[in-house]
Amino acid sequence: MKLGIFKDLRVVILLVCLAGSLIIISPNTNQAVIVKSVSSDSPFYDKLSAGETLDWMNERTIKTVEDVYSFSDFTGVMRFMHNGKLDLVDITVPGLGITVDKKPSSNIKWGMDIVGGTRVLMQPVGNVSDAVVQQIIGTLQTRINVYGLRETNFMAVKDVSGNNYIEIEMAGGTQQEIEDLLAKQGMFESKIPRVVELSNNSGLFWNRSIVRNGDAITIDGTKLGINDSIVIDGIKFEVYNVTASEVVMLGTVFTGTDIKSVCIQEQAGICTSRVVAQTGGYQFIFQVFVSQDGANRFAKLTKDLGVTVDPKTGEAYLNGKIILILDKKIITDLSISADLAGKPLTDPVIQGGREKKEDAISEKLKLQSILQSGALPVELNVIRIDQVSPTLGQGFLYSMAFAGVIGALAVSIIMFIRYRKPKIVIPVVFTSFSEVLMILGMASLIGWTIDLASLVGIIAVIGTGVDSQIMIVDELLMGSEAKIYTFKQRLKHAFFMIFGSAATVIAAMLPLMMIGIGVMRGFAITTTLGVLIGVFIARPAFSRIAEQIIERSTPSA
Amino acid sequence: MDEVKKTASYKKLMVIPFLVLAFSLVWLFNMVYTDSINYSIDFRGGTEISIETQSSPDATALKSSLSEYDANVRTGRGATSWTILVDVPSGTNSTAVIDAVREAGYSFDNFSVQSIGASLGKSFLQQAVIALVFAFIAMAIVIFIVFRIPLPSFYVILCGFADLIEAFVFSQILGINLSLASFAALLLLLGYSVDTDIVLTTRLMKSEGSASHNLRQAVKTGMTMTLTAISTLSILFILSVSPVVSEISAILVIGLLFDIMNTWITNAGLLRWYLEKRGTA
Repeated sequence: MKLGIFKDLRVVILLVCLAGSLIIISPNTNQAVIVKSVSSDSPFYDKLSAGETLDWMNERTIKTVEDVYSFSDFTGVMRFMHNGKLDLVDITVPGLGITVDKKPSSNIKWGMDIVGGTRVLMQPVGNVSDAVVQQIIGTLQTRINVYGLRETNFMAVKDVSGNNYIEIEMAGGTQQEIEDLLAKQGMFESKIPRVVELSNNSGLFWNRSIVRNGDAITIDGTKLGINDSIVIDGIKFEVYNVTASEVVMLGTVFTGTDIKSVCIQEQAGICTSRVVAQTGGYQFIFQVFVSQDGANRFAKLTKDLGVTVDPKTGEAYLNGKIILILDKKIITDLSISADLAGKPLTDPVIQGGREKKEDAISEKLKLQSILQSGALPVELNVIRIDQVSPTLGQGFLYSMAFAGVIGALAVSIIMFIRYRKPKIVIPVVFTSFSEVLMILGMASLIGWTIDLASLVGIIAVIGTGVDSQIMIVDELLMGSEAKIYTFKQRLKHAFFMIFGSAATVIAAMLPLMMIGIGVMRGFAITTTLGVLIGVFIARPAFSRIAEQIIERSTPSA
Repeated sequence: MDEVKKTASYKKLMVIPFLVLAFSLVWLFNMVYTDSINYSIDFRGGTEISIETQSSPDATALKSSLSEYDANVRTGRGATSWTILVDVPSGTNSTAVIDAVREAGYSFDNFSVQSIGASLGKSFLQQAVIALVFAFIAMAIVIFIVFRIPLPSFYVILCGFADLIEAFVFSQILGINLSLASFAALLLLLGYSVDTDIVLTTRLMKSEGSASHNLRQAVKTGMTMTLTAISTLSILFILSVSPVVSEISAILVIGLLFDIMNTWITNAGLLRWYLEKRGTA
């Protein structure tokens, strides 16, 4: 009989949900460090990616963030283990170019006000469309990637009146870091490589003789080393690479001033910008408007380039890609369709494909923002700033946990005074505790961030939960006293009140989700979620347990 | 004879909560009329710097050393430390203010800064008023659906209304600014405080037996509920180091205290009256 309770469906559901929540939260006590970002000029670029765990570096076990940063001045060959894989990297200049953070102790995502950091809400100046908001976010994300800044979350926010806002959240970041991010604007250039074949250290480039002398070359009597440049025919050429058999010259096609505009939002008959489904994935297309001078340079640089046919797609491309550069860093390159050779187009179309739609969208946004020199399409006004120092948030968390424990104690004492039965008090505390676990598990599952307001929501849920449990116990006790009703009837009574009070709490919370651009949404959602978990999972199980306890402690029943 | 006397006394007793409600409504209208509601920066815009320090702060002295920033300084005591709240107009360089507090002789690592533009605050306030109206209507609809009898449902709603108004007015009198957090607490109170009214109404309307027996049972259940909530929230208020959490718990405690009066005097009285008139008591 005693174990019979564990066979009751309602109790089983509660226990299964509890176990599931624990697995989802997956608390871990191991000290470890995970990679937050890798900048494009980092020696680890392409070897390490964000989210990986760093196990050891040069045989030194990595336990703390400081362990990683102690290698900041290191040069030479470094062995490192990441996610269980061994890799080598040659560090020529000091500087790791990566940011790392402590591996979180569980899958619960804590809000900025608990882990510390800065959150900024910005409003674009003027009436902007959703496409522009996406472009702003794309541009800022590109800046983060290009400059290897701290991991940052961007979110497009709308208020009830439909105004667009952008929320930037940097966990662990300062206000200064966000200001830097907003101020960063790069210098855009794009170049096309021209390869000069050499025989006996000499060749012909743009109808001019070119002579190689070691790493240097001489064009028309001008001596040039690597990275030196010369203007020929209105085009700036830079010496990129010199070998015994060839010289690679990079010709500048467009600079930032040549890019007149980039189409961000499709307008029929005016410009093209879209992502469409195609076989095997998604294709993005957008139009760029360039100056006549730029178009002419493009024509000159491409008119005599050879053509290669892609054996897979059958499409013909020029032998020479267009390289996109931001702040002297090569970001990416684009193939040039063969039929564009020698054409001075002022409105070229850039297109590409990706398997997944979101990848196609983010690649398009990235290219669009690079072409705009990483400039923001509109000015942004900062209208809300929240900054929390890291240890302060920790203090919040601990004080809440402490208050939770003392609160549970207080509830137990009051319930004990009232009922004089520890057997009733234990399941009440257990059920409340299980509700907290289930809310945290649910939040981890849906990726909901637990911020301070959510924690208060959890406390509110426990409050309503304890209330409901008192209603159940009292109904059952009254039933066993009166002996007129069966437990089933009394429970029906209790659940009528429980559903009624749960519904009023949810009704009061729903409008809160809409206001304040989601500032109190955490509170409203956690409370609603918790009340639902309580009513449908915790309370039915508790009523079964309480029924057993009261039935057995009432001799005549 | 005894029963008659009791009847008369519970009706007389109802005068107290009605006076409290009338006082609160007059106070509220006066605050609205003279535009003297104390808003936090959430609703009026501005910058608030919250600093946690180990040494006991002197608000007046700090205010004068921050005079160039037009700062308003408040202090609060936590379980293990003090909190200094510095309000400055929005657009003020918060780093400079924080440095000035350090120069004034306070040492600390923990701080938070919140800054809100005035127009955003204004739109928050408009949204909050709309949300409040919607929440109240939604709560009222739920109550009507639950009980399906107009008068008793109305009494429950009246009680929720009184809790809300009284909690707001007394929190203002006690100097708690209306912020998004305290506003959320008021909404929660609206949904939470009617729990006891639901217990009362259910027990009196749906249980067999005498009204006074049912009422005694309801008081037992309801008071246990309210007391556990008040004790937990008071502990949270005392132990919390976060102004957000303190505000929320303070408002809920104030509201639940008023709820004891509104549920067990107003609502219980009105309901008994209703049952007597209907002849079922």
